[in-house]
Amino acid sequence: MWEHREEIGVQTVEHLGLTLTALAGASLLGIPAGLLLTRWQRLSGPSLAFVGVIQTIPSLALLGFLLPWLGIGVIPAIVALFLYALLPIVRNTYIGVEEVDPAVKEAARGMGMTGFQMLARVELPLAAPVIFAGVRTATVIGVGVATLSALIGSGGLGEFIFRGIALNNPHMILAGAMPAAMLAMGLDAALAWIQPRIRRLLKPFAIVFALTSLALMPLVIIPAFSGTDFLAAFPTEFMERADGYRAMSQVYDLQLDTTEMDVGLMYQALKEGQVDLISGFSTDGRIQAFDLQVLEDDKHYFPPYAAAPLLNGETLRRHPEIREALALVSGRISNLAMAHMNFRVDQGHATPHQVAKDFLESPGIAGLPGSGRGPND
Amino acid sequence: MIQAIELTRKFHGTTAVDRVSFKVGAGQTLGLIGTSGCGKTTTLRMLNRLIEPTSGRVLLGGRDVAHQNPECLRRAIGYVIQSVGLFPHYTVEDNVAVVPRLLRHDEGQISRRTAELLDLVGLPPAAYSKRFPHELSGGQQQRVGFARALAADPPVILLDEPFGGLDQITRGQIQRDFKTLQRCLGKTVVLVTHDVFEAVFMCDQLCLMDRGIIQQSGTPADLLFEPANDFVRDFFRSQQFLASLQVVRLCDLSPHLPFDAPAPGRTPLLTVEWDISLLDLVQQFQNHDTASLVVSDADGTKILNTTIPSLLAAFWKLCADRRKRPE
Ligand SMILES: Nc1ncnc2c1ncn2[C@@H]1O[C@H](COP(=O)(O)OP(=O)(O)OP(=O)(O)O)[C@@H](O)[C@H]1O
Ligand SMILES: [Mg+2]
Repeated sequence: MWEHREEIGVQTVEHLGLTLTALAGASLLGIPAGLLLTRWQRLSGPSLAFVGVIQTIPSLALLGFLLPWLGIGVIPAIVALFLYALLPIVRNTYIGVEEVDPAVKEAARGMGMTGFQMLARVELPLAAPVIFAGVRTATVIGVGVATLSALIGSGGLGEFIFRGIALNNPHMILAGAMPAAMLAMGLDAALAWIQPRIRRLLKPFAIVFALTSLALMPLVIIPAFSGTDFLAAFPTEFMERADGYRAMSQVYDLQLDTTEMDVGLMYQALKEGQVDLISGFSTDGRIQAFDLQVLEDDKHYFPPYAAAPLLNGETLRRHPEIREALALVSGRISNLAMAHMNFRVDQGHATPHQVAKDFLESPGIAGLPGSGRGPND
Repeated sequence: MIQAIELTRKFHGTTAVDRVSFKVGAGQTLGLIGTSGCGKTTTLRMLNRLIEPTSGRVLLGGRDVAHQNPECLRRAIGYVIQSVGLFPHYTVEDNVAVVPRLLRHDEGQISRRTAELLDLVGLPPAAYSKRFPHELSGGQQQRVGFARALAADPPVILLDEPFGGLDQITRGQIQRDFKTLQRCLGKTVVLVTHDVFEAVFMCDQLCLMDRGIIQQSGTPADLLFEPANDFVRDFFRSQQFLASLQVVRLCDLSPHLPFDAPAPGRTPLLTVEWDISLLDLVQQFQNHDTASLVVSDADGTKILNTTIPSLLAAFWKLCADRRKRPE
């Protein structure tokens, strides 16, 4: 871990930058939104339900959902973090103000405070600890979700974690996970200490918060706009493994701008034109669906990655007929045929069962001994 | 000073307050009384426009409040609610200073005024001004509530069950303190209560309401001795005796009591105000632990040599007289 200390430092700053930028945005929008809801009660139900629904979208799905509009990198990551931070902040602001003792509100109004004076002198100060608790929740959620944004190439401590997972290297996972956990716990502890003192510490806290986010924001955002002409996206594993990108760049003498990206999001990013090159599987159905072009490996850098069925020996002993059944199709599925079958399934038009059945009954295969049976799912 | 004219307020078709009219003279205390839900609070809140009337008008010093800015209006009217509603994040001192600050009074003046008021309500500023509401007892909070309502020296004060939730002794103490305070500051007060004794003790005039309608208005003695209908009679029944003792004054009994001429050399045991209530007088007997008492009024012109039984006999006679009087 020690040899990575510099990289860990950089990624921690990136991580903090992503989280705080999103948090600053969510606070700037969420607190006024929560206050508005207390004045327009009719909107409060639907609005809180809406931000609640955002919260339930799985992080990876949300990133994929944002891809067509915002592409990859830091901006969609911040937007996703921002959306997740909205719920705790809006809801706590709303509840905090709603729960101010009605007698106190009545007294404030009876004393002759205007709506704004009530808000500034009574409701906001009394709701401050609750609102702050919302910001604290959002911070902890944010640090967690920010690790996932490494999947769309926005940096942060997630890079180590996913690289570690891809390479099955626990040390590398820890190198990302431990600073992330420490960051979450440290921020949580600090904010927990401030929470009961928030009325007194509001000003210093707001200043520190604003300055830190302003200082980190350019660090995170500026690289996002220094776009390149040609960008290649590879999954973490391909970037790291010996027979991955590094060796390939030597064989083909390539100098590419690269970014790390989740396998699941790569194809779509290429389709949307967010990146220009990915390392895909030539049999993937999306190649056909998205009208992508497979490059020819004329220097034969990639060995053929043919699919090989792996079976538990015990299972095979009990069902020797599986071997015969698989032998029938072995070597008979061309890349093109496989891609086509994947395409049919990926596009959701057919079940794997149906596609497999159609294949077995197709002219080239049907008529072979035993082919009438079809796979047993 | 304050006049309500045919005040009516409807909530979703039901009439909470129905054509309520009354007049409170400067320095007077008006009590709005009645059972729970009869519309007392609603009436009170229409006076400072916390609720807008469906119809009817409120005049304050002759001016229709509907034409005044509601915030300015409320700053000129003291308001004390049952649940006190002190601002929990303000110190006692800052709570009292709320309205003067809204009115942008000079800070030096505000702190002098605050200290003065805290002294007035019996909370020495040295010990109390820096405390927070949660560091006070219920009765102390109520006192701060009064000080807050008085801070900008409003001529009119509205009180909504301000003595609720206190034990008997504390309540009696605060009621007496407030009454003295009100008398010497000359405030005009509208007091909402459902406590019969509190009403007759504190108020010059009463309006007894039922289901939004005034059943009877008049002095406490009017309502006690000449109830307009069965509702009024029933309302006072449980406290009739005690309330009557409070309402009847020594001067009311004078036709029925034997008075001596002031004899030189005979010092009276007790000197009282001429308009002391009978209840207080009986209390004095108890305090002096005696069956008969020589009482002199303040300038010593009349001397009364009496016992509790003879006072009570005179009291019964007066009650019987007033009840018989044709309405
Ligand atoms: N905002 C409101 N909406 C609907 N109905 C209301 C509202 N405020 C008061 N009411 C109704 O008006 C009636 C009078 O209420 P109000 O609060 O004036 O009673 P009250 O005499 O002060 O009673 P209490 O002694 O219990 O305080 C009640 O029946 C109450 O339910
Ligand atoms: Mg009430």
